[in-house]
Amino acid sequence: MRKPGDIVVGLGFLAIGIAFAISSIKLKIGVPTEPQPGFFPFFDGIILIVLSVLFLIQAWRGRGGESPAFGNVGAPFIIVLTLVLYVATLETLGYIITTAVLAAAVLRVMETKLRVLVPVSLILAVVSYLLFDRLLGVTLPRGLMAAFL
Amino acid sequence: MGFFENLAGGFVVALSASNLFYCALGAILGTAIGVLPGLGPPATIALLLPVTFRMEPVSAVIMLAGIFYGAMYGGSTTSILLNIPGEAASVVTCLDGYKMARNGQAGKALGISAIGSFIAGTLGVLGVSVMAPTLASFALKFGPPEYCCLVFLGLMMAIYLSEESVLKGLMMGVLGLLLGTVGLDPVDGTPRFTMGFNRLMDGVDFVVMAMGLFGIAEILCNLETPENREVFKTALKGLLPTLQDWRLCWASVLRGSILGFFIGVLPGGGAIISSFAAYAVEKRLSRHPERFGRGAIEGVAAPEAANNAASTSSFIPLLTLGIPGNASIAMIFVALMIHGIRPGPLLLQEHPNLFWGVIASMYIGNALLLALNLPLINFWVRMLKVPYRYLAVVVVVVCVIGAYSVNNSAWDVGMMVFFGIFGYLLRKFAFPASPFILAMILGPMLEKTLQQSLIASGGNFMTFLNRPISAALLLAAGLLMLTPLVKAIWKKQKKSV
Repeated sequence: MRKPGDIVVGLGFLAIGIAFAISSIKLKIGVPTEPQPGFFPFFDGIILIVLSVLFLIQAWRGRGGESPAFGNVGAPFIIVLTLVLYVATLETLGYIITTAVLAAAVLRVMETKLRVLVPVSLILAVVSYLLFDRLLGVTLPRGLMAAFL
Repeated sequence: MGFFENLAGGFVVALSASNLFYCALGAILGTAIGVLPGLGPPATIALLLPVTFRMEPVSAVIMLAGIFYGAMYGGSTTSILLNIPGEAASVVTCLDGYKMARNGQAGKALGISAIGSFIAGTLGVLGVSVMAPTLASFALKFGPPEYCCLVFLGLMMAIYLSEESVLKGLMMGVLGLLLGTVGLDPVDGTPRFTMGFNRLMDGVDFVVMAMGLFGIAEILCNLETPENREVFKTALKGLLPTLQDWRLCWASVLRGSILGFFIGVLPGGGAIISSFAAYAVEKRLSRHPERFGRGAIEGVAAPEAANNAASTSSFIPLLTLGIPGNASIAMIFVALMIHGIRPGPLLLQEHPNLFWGVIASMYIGNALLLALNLPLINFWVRMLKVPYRYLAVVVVVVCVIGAYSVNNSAWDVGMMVFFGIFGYLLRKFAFPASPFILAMILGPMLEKTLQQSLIASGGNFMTFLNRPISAALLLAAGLLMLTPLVKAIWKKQKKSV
């Protein structure tokens, strides 16, 4: 049995190894008596290439240990998407609004009822803002709410 | 100064009001996250790293260490009552602990694991306080070639001892070394692999990466499976083991402690392996091995002692050689670096207060944990009834705030999310995260000592073999790398017979 998942992963590692090895050549490798900045990463890159090829051969032959099965991947996918949006909007919309949405998304995928979800995420966003920004001195972005805070 | 004077000095540091507070806080937090499944010690320590920015370095390490060994106390509770390990080092405790609970001996199982943990933890600290200074003074003689080989051996041990798949461990190790080179070159300051991002000049931020790799990734993984927890309902009484129980398991506790201590010193050894090894030893030595798996008290006492002794002794390579052996200790390494303290053989000379203060706090912490654990057992059990989703949402919010607070920028939150996704994929494809993080931390040291050795010897790689200590270290690494081959040949021969 070939393992398509492992083959993709192996190719990923291979690509990283090649990328580092090539960029290291540009940084100059030097000689052992006078190693240049590319010296250490170049050899690491070469080792990673060799290991990735070994891994790809294993995956092609269907060897190697079992990976845990994917469960319900929908939930992590939604949260990853929410987190990406969170990073993109954090500084414009401000901490409180974005965090309330993020918290709501996490609670939602874990099957929380709406009447619990709404107050909990709002309270969490506001309380954590007050605790960290006001009490502990972490400056959190105010964004749209700047006028009120 | 003699040993007792040093230790007394440590107690003066550890007994100050604020350090006592941080010690207790760490121990309690550790127990809590040990009890709760779905949040391990490395994730918790990573989450709290930003909090330690403004603390005294001693207080920071005292608190983080408390979390680490405190989790070993808490983990058994969930194993015994739920048949779910509260954290990874308590997996094996499920076997007999849960059976004991089903046989109406939950109290006894909880009692023996707390007392066994205390004995092992205390013996472990004693071992650390005796062994660490000796090892540190020995390591002072190390030059760059010795250090280079030592780091290499440490990384190889972390990979070969702890992982199922050596190939995956090696790939992650090399990836960590490569990622460790991102930023300014340590020798001549050339920017490397920054891809034009100024933010990457200082390299990848450990704190941000760790919060993603451990915190966010852990939550993402746990989102896949719906929570299913059933606390075993039973009257918790008779927590103190009887004289007869003691007769059965005092030797197990002692053996577990000693075995755990020595496994814990090795990089990659750590609490998880030591608990499995201790269980296997007890089963083999027992006159009634059939009792194991059916509620044998030794099967709880030995692994719980072993994981505590191991978690304590894993501080030895950190404090004396500057080599973290597992992910939690790596986080404590990062906490020290944030404060500009370089763990290693000089730590004892340069920061004796920190060194002895942390060790003294471990004696105190273990006593506190014993005092807190048994009387509060009902409180910990009740905490298990809080649904996981509330823990998950708080962890996500704390991660976001923590990452933002590092530089007050959304860039770091983005990096954290990136490493969260990366860590999630690693778990899904069964790639180990700890060789990656250890290699990333140790990579710069490996590179620097390698270059120094080569320059000093005129580019001669034989320099590593011409010096006795470095040759011995390299030989050990070489033997270690041969083990999979030997195992494979042995298996084949067994088949053909």
